[in-house]
Amino acid sequence: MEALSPRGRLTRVAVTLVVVALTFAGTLFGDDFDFPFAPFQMFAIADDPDEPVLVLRTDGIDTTGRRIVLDERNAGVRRAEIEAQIDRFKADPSLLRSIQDAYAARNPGRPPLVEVDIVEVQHHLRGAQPTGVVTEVVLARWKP
Amino acid sequence: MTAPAARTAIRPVAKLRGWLFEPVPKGRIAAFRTLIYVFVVLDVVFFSAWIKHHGDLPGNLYQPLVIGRILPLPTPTPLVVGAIYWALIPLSLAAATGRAHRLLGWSVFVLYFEWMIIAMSYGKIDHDRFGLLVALAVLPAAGRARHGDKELTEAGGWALRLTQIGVICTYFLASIAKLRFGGFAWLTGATLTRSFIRRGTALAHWLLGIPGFTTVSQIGIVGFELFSPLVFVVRPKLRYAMVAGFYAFHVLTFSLITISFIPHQVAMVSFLPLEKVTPVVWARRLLGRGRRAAGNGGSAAEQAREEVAETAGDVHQRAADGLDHLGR
Repeated sequence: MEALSPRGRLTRVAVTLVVVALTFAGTLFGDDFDFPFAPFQMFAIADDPDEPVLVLRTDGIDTTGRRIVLDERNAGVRRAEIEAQIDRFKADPSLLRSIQDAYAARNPGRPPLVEVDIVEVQHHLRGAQPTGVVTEVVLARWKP
Repeated sequence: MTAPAARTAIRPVAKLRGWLFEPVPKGRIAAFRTLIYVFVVLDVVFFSAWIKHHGDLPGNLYQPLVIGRILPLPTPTPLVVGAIYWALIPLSLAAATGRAHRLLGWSVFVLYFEWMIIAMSYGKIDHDRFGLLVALAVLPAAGRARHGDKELTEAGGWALRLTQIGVICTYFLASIAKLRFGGFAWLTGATLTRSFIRRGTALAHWLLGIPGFTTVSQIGIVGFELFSPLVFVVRPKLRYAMVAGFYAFHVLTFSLITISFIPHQVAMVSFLPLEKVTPVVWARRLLGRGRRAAGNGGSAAEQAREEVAETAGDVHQRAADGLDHLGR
């Protein structure tokens, strides 16, 4: 067997204690900026069991009046990015023109969009259980 | 203190030390090394390909971490990100061979650590790879190891143990974080319901129809996370069952909300007797079989030897099948 020297053992014991102490301290007292010793807090927030779950959706309406759900494939729209910038879109819906253009570029030959909506879909809950009631609110509308 | 009292005080310490340095075959370290460094390449290129795009983001979106403020780390630019990317791939592949384990190991650790800092400096922190980072930090200190070497090593045993501690910390501290940030309300809150609605698969949406499913699951998750450190004290048979349970949890999570935790799963292989997975030996055996068929026969001794090798290979194969079940 290949045994460790006393010094090798001592160093490793010290490293172990420091790493474990920092890891625990990070979760007990730290925040995200302490990565790699940040709290392990993915999914750690308790969401209110009676508040609706909100999901943003981007819709396009083409010249035939058809409503199309816009996504990464047909318009390069990523939900996380829309959610992160929703306040900008609300303040200035004309920013949605870029989505209209992206749809046109990706779907040549299809009827162009005449309207782009960002819709907030609210899934209502009671006791952390969906009630089946879903309401939709348009947060930003671009209709040139 | 009397002599017997002193001895009983020392005994737990000695036991803990024996546990921390529990020797493992060098072949296990060699296999773990190869797996981890090959995974780093796959992760950088494939699993976490999004990180590369951080170089294209405007500098004002960069929110340096504490470590990024202590160390003079550059704000990511396409050049910085590209340089790390193109250095990590060949260095990791070289490290996977087990050669120059210190030099290559430290280089990969430093580069991958910086890669992680780049990943986590834009507002979203993932905790799916703490175990992998620990593995990368300790592998350079795990000693030289050849595939198939049965000699035991304490340095290697410690490296695997610390990786295991990192893996289990990920579970245990995740439950502590839930209690810290969510409180006991987390147990009956809508965290799972929300994630099922927002990013759930068809299966998740179907399960939402079962009253109380998410609440019971949440209690189950916190329970399993809180008790995960038991994996260190139970008998081997139960230990493997627990590890299998951990893997099953990730398979389930992936099938419900498509979160894979793959770097964590790779680090968790540190619990398994990896030296029993010997693809090179299997490949050689297959080649040998092909040659035997071509050569048509041989001496009785040769035949007997091949039979023995075959039996050994079956054992390996069974071990590998077991691993497949545990893994993905």
